[in-house]
Amino acid sequence: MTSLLEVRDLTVEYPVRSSAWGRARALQALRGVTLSVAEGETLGIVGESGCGKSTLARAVVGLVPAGGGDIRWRGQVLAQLRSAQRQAIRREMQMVFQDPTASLDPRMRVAALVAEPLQVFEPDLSAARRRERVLRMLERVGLAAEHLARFPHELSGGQCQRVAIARALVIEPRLLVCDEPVSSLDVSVQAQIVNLLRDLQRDLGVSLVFISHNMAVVRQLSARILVMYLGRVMEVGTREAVFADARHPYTRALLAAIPPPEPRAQRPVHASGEIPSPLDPPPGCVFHTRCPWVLDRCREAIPALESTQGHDVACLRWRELR
Amino acid sequence: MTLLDIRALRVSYAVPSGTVHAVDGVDFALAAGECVGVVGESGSGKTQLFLAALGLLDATASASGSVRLGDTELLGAPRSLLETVRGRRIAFVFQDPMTALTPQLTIGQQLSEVLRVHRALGEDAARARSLQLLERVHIGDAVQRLRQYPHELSGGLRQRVTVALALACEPQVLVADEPTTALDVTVQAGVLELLREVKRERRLAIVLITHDFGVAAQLCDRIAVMYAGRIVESAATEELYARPRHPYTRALLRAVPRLDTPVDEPLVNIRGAPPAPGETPTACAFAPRCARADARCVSERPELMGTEQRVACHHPFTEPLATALARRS
Amino acid sequence: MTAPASGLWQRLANDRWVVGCGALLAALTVLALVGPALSPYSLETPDWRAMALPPTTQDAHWFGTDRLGRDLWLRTWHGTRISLLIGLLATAVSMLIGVTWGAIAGYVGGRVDALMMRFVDVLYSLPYVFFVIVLTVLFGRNLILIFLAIGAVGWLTMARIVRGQTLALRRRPFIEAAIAMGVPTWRIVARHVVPNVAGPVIVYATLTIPQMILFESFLSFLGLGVQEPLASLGNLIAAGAAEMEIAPWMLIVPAGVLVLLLGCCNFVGDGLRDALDPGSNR
Repeated sequence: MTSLLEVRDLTVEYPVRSSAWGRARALQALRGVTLSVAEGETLGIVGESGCGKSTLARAVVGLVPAGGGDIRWRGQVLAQLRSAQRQAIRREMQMVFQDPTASLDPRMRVAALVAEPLQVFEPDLSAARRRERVLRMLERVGLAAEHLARFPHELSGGQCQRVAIARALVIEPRLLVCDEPVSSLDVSVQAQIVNLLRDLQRDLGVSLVFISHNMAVVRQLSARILVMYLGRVMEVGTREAVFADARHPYTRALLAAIPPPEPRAQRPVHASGEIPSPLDPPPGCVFHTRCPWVLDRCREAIPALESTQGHDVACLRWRELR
Repeated sequence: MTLLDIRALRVSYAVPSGTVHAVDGVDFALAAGECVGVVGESGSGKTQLFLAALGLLDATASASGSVRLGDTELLGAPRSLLETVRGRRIAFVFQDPMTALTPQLTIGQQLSEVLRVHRALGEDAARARSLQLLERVHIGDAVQRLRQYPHELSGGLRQRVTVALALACEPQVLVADEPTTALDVTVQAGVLELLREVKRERRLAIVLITHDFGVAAQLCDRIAVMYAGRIVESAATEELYARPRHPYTRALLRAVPRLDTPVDEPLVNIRGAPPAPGETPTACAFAPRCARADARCVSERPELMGTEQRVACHHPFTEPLATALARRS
Repeated sequence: MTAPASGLWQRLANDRWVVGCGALLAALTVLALVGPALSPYSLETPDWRAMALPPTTQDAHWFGTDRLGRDLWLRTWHGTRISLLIGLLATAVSMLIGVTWGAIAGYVGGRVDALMMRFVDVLYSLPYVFFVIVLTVLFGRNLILIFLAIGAVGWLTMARIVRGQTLALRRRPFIEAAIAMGVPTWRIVARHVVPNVAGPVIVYATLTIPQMILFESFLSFLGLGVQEPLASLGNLIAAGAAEMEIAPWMLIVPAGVLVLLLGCCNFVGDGLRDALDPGSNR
C-alpha cells in the first residue's frame, strides 16, 4: 500500500517562559516521532496527557511548525512546498476537534459552516451545486435539511460533532485527523459517532488518524495502534499485536489501568508515580521513572524503536519481558 | 443507620422556553460506611441532585422535597446552618481540581483555612494537621507541598489535595462528583484506591457521581442509575452489572466499548437523544428510545418498585446480561 | 462570548430603561427632523419684534428667541440635527477604521501588531484639540473637516478594543479549525473575527455616539466647530452661556436637549451591553 502520510523523526518544541524575566525554556512536545499512514487505513494514537498526541495532529495539518524532521504527503516534503501547493494539500487533509461546539463558529448556521470549505477550495461551484453537496453530506452524517438553519448552540454535542465531520469531509479529503473526537461526548453518543466514523471510512475510503486517551474506543476503529508517552513513540503495531501481545511496559500499564465495568474483576494496577512534566522529561527512556522493570541502563540510553514484523517497540528489555 | 436521606427532591429552573426539571422526584438514602454510585449521562440530573442537597444551587433554581442529614433538614435551611454543615459534615470533591482550588493560595493556606474555620484550630495546630492530612492522602514531601501553589502540582496530586481538603474536618459524608474524569487513566486508579482506603478506615459514606461504569464498579456497593432527572434503577453493584433490569441501564452497559467488544460490528448504541431541557418528557422519560415501550409507557409513569433491587419500568428485563449476549452470538 | 442573538430583542424589550430611553431618543430624532418645519420662522431671518423673548406660546416662539431675534425652537432642532449627524457619521468612520485596524493587528500579531498599535499610541498622546486647531488652520472651517477630525480621534479606542477582542478570539477552537481547514487569513478575519467581535463593537459604538456629540459641542463651544449662522448644540450653548443671567432659556433649552440626548444614548448603550452579556440571567 502506498504511504499517504509519512512523518519522520518529527520534533516540535514550544518556548515556555516561567516568569517575565526567566529564561525561555523549550517544552519538547514531540521528539523523534516517526509514523506512516497508508491509503484507506485507520491509525489509532493513544497516550495520556503530555504525550504529544494533540501536538502531533496539529503538526500534521500545519497548525504548529515542525522544529526538526519532516512530514511527507505522497512522498513530498511539506515544508519544502510553495504556498499554492501547500494549499492544495491542505485540502486533502482535514481535522475534527475535541470540543464539537467550540470548533464551530457560533455565529454561523450549519449550512454556512459546511459550505465554507467548498467556498475556499471550489469557488467556481454554483450556489445551487454547493447547496446540494452540503445537504448530501449532512444526510450522510445522519442530519437532515431541518438542521441547515440551526446555530451550533441549538444543537447537541453529538450533532455538532456530526456537523464538524460533515464540514471536514465535504471537500473529499484523503485523510481525516480526529483529535479526541468523542471524549467530550456522552457514552451513548460516543457509540453513535464511532459507528459513523467507521461507516464513513468504509464508504469514502478516507484514511483516518484517530487520537484518544481511551484505548477501548481506539481499538474499535483502528487497524494499527501507536502508543505515545511524553513526546516519544513507545510502541506501534497492529491492533491484534498491541492488545493481545503488548510489548512495552507502558502499553501494559495503560491496558492494566483501565477499570473494566465489572465489579469483581481484577483491581486495576496503577503505574507508580505521576506523569513527569514535559518541561523536564526524565533522561534516557522517558518511562523509566514509573517502570516496574527499570534498570540502570534505562536511565542512560534512549531506546530506539526496534521493529520486528511490523510490531515496533522502544524498550531495551522487551525481549526479556515477554 | 441512614445518614443522608433525600425524599421527593425536585429541582427546576424557569427559562424563557418553559421550565426545566433538572431533578424530577428523587428518593435517595445513604448509610454510614456505604458507597453509592450515581451513574448517568449529562443532563440526567446527577450533579444537580447533590448541589441541591448542599444548598449550592443557582439562585434561579427552585427546589422542593426534603434532604435530611441525620436530624438536620438541609433543604431551605438558612445559610448560617448550611455553612456549618458544608465541609464539616458533608464534603464535596469536584471534578476539576484546578477550579476547586484557589490559584492564588498555597496548598498549606487552603488547608489551614478549612481547619481554622471549621475546627477553630490555631495556626500551629492547623499546620500539623495539614501535614497529617497530606500524608494521609499519600502525598510525599508534604512539607514542601504545603508551600506550593495548585498550578505547580500535577492533576493527580491536585485531586489528592482536594480529597485532603474534603477530609480535613472528618465529615460523615463525602460527595465526589466525577473525581477521576479529568485524570489520566494511569493516575485515576491511584485516586480510586485512595478513596477506597478512606472509606474502609473511617466508615465514611461516599456518594460517587460518574458517567463511567468502570469507575463505579471499582468503588461502589450500590449504584443508582439516573435518566432525565429520575432514578430509573438502583441495585447492589454486582447485581446491577450481572442483571441490569432497566432497558436504559442495559443499553448503556452495552454501549461502553470494552477491551473485548467485537471490532467488526457497529457498537450498540441507543437511538435518539435524552429529552431536551425544557421539553416535557413522556410518562416514562425513556419510552421514545426504548424498543420495549408500549402505550402504557407513554401514559403511565413507572415508579421505583422492589426492595433491594429497584427499577422504574413497566417492562423490565429479567435475564442476566451474559446470557442475553451469549444468546445473540 | 456573547449571548445568542435569538433572545436579544426580548432581553432589550424587558429592560425598562432601554425601552424608555429608546423611545425618548426616537422622539428627539423625530423632532430634530420635523420640528423646524413646524415653525413659521426661518433660520437666519431675525424676528425684529421679538428679541430675547422668553419661551411663549404666542407667536409660535415655543423656545423663545435669542438676542438677535432668531427663533430658538428652530435653531435648537437644527442644532440637534447637526449634532446627531455628526455623532452618527463620526462614529461610523471611527468604527470602520477602528475595527479594520484592530482586527488586522490582533489577528496577524507579531511585528505588524506592534507597529500598528504603537501608531495608535502615538496618536493617542496627541492633544486632540491641538490637532483640530491645526487642521482648521490648514483647511479652513469646514463641516466635513469636523466630521473627519472627530472621527479620526474616535477610532483609536475602537481599535484597541477590537484588538483585545481579536487576541482573545484567536485562541478559540473555531478559529483554529478554520486555519486547519485551509481558510485564507483575509477570510478568517472578515468572516470569523469581525462578526464575533460585533457585540462589544456595537456596544462601544452606541457609547461613542454621545462622546462624538459632546466633542463636537465642545469644539463648537470653543468656536472651532460649527460656525454661525449655522446652529449646533455646542454653539447655541456657547451663546446661551454668555447671556445666562439675562436670558437663561437661551442656555437651558439647548443644554437640556444635549443632556437628554447624551443620557438616552448612554442608557441605551448600557442596556445593549447588558443584553449582550451572557452572564446576566434575565
